[in-house]
Amino acid sequence: MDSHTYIDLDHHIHTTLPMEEQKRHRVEMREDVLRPVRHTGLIGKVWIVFLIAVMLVGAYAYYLQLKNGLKVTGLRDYASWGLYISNFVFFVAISLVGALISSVLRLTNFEWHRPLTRIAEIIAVAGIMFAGLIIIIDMGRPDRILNLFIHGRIQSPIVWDVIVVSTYFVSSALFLYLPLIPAIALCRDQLTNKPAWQRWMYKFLAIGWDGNDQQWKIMKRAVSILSVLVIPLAISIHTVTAWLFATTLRPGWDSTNFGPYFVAGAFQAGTACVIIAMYVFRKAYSFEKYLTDVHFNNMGKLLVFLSMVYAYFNVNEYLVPAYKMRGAEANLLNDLFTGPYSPVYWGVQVFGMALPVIILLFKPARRPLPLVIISLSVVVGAWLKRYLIVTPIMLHPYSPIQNVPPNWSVYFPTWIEISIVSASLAGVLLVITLFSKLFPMISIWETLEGEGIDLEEMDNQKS
Amino acid sequence: MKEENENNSRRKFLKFGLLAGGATIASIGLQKNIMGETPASGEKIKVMTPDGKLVEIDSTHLEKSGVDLTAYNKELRDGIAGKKFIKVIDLARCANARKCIQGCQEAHSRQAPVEFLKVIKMKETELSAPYWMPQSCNHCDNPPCTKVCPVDATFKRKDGIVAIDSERCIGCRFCMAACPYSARSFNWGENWGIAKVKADGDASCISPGENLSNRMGTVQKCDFCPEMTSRGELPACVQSCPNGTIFFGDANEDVVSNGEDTFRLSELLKKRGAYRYLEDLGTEPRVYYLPPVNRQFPFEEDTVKHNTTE
Amino acid sequence: MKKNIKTLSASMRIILATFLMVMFIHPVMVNAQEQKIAKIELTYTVEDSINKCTATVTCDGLPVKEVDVHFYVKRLYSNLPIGSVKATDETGKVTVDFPSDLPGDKNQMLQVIAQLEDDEVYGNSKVNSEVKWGKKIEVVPDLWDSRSLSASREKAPLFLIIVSNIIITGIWGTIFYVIYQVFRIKKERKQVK
Repeated sequence: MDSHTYIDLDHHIHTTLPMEEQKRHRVEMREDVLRPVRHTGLIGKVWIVFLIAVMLVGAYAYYLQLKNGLKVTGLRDYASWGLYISNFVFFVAISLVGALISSVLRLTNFEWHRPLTRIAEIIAVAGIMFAGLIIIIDMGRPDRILNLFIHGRIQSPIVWDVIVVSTYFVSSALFLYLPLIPAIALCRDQLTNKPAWQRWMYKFLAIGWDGNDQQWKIMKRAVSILSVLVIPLAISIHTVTAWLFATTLRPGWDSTNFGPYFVAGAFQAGTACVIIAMYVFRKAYSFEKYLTDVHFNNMGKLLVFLSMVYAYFNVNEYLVPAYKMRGAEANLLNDLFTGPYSPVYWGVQVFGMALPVIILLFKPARRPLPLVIISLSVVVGAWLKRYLIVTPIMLHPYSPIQNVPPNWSVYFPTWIEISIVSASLAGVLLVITLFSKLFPMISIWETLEGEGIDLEEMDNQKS
Repeated sequence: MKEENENNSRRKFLKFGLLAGGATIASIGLQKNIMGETPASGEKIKVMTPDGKLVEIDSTHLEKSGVDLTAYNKELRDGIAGKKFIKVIDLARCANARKCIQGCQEAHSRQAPVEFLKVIKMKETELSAPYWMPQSCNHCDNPPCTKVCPVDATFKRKDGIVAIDSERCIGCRFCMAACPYSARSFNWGENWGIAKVKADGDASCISPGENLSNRMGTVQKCDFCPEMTSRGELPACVQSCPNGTIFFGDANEDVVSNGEDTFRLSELLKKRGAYRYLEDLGTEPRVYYLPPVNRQFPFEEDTVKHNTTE
Repeated sequence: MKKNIKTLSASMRIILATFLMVMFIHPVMVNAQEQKIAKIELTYTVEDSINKCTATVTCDGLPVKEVDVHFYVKRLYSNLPIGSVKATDETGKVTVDFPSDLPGDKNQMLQVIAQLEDDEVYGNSKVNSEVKWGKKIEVVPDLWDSRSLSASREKAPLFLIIVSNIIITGIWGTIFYVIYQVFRIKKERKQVK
């Protein structure tokens, strides 16, 4: 059976197949998406062990940091924020994609988003989880974290960030969980040879799902509510993160453009992350039938569009101040454009933003392999961009930096910081990997619904 | 587990603004602060009363009376009513002697690399003359640092002082990022830049709310020496400058002094064309600078590198 | 040196002895005279709406002429000099113009100090007195007490508290509603069975 006979992604014509065909197709898809959950290959095991090893190194590094204080980092009085904060911003950025793919595309009836929602949502949940963790790691006194709740000031953007990060985490987790319930029930019913804890977990999380029409109705309605709720939350989470910088008086951060600039960058980086994840899952889990070239082509188009929006905000963020070259900001901009930061700055702007737009305008570049290479370049660029947003500004204060130890006027992260940040990246990947080993990575009901096969109807005819 | 925390955070959050008072600082640290400073019995010490008068009382009396810590804490946070401390720095007198830095470090038991006060070489344009500019916390009236503090660990007092409660600081360093004057420094490690730590962990001069033995991972800065000023002494930097560069006083009295000379604040600022650093930012600093005109010393380049090792 | 003295002429010896006496013994004599205590009295007058403070220096009831009198107003950390230092006249009086805009204490009082400083005869005689010439410190509502973004948490701006609570209640209300839906899904199963 050729999948293209009944999927028309661009026009989403719902062809009605005979009920036997529909059921057969459902069973077939069930087997396809459950296969990676049933069985983990050697590469998968090595990958998981590798990620855990990286995390253990990071945990040891964090132990040293807790014991000796933040002096083990490259941070000092001038560069008092560094790699941790850059990484925090990056994680928040990639977590926005959950809202983009699952909500924006859904509400605007882009039917091809359906097989991608779960990938996008797990990236969002994993990203926001580790964003919260990395900010605790950055704290000088993590033992006093409860002060945020005991003495929290509503005037502080950090308190806004705590509220919005936790809110987004809860709603993203729900947004991941609710559409997953039928799949969990499937795992509960099908994967009976799994260890007891895993079977118990399926049973617990499936909350007695048997696919009756009331359950379907409630679930779909809740998902609709969440998909509306998540959009303002996603935008506010990254806008508030931008405000951590924009509410200060520092040249380079003191910008009214920062909120939308961050949100635009986040959508671009997150989309590239989803493309990479799509590619990996397609290869590793043989999802070619569900993550088709059409999906890659569409995601490529989306990436072009988002890169152009991001480029627009970059023009506003850098070229408008550069036109004026005002005092302290001029020193910073000169250092970015032609000074010590220029290789990174131009590298990021060209390989992370300009080139992807140009290359991806051509259809052959939107095939899976070239697209994933470009996406990698976008993600690396996005990560380095967050470094450029934090460090050079910290090192360009109004007052000249004088009479300080030589390592205070520069910033280079130590192995401790690099290990902890690597561990957090590994953590995100590990959460995604383990999730994909416990639950199906493609939503069966959403994908089939896009093909005109309504599982709600099917389940209730059966019962 | 995680979800539970989030919900908890929200519940706590909803109480913001509805909850009044309830300031609870770890009182043990404060107790240490008070008692650590108390001189031997029978000695008279000067204490500033809430209405700003200096009175002499017996130190043992203070000790035995068992100071109400909550009230003491509130006083630390509120500051002295009726006072508005202010600093005036006469750039014509600064010769980069760096004695203010030394005096400040000694008073606060700090050593390199911690400098709450810096003497910066300023040269605005190619043609303008270079000059030395002592810079420290400006104790702004519209402080960007207290705005962003998530836990009220840095706060503005009635008497103009921007203080830090190092028992509450969570070390997020947002205040350092927010300060346009780079006036804040961080305790990057255990006993970071602490000069003399006594057996009990207390040094000779401590700021309100500061506990020297438990400062790792918290922010610190110039505190206008409240321990000294409440005893009727001028701050350490003012006392240690050999050229009388730094003036200090109570703006409500309209007088500043460098220990040697005493001037009407308003007249001094008017006559000498005083300005505030980075006035454009609207931070309303409580430190005024007198421009370096009719200098008492010719500008000399600094040939020695200072504060080079951590 | 001693040898030199021996070889000096008689007249030179006398000159030297006089010199030494002036140098070393005279101050001792002055110190003996320092027992003299000058009495300073302060009177306050207003002439042509200018505040004037007059110090009258006397010693044993006689006016003391030609001594420098320093006027100060006591402040927290130091004493503020008032006017320039002037010497007393024939009648032992000296007058300084007093500023009218100097902030006083809460009763508008100023603590005035008049003193002789290191005077050869009268040493450091000093008098303290109070006068109600202090400018009233205008009681403006202290900004510190008002709600602001930089104030403590109890003094957060009202709009911020209200708006943030409305938003948070709205969003978390929705989230709890969705969580409630999860329990409804669970319930639905029981109905079927």
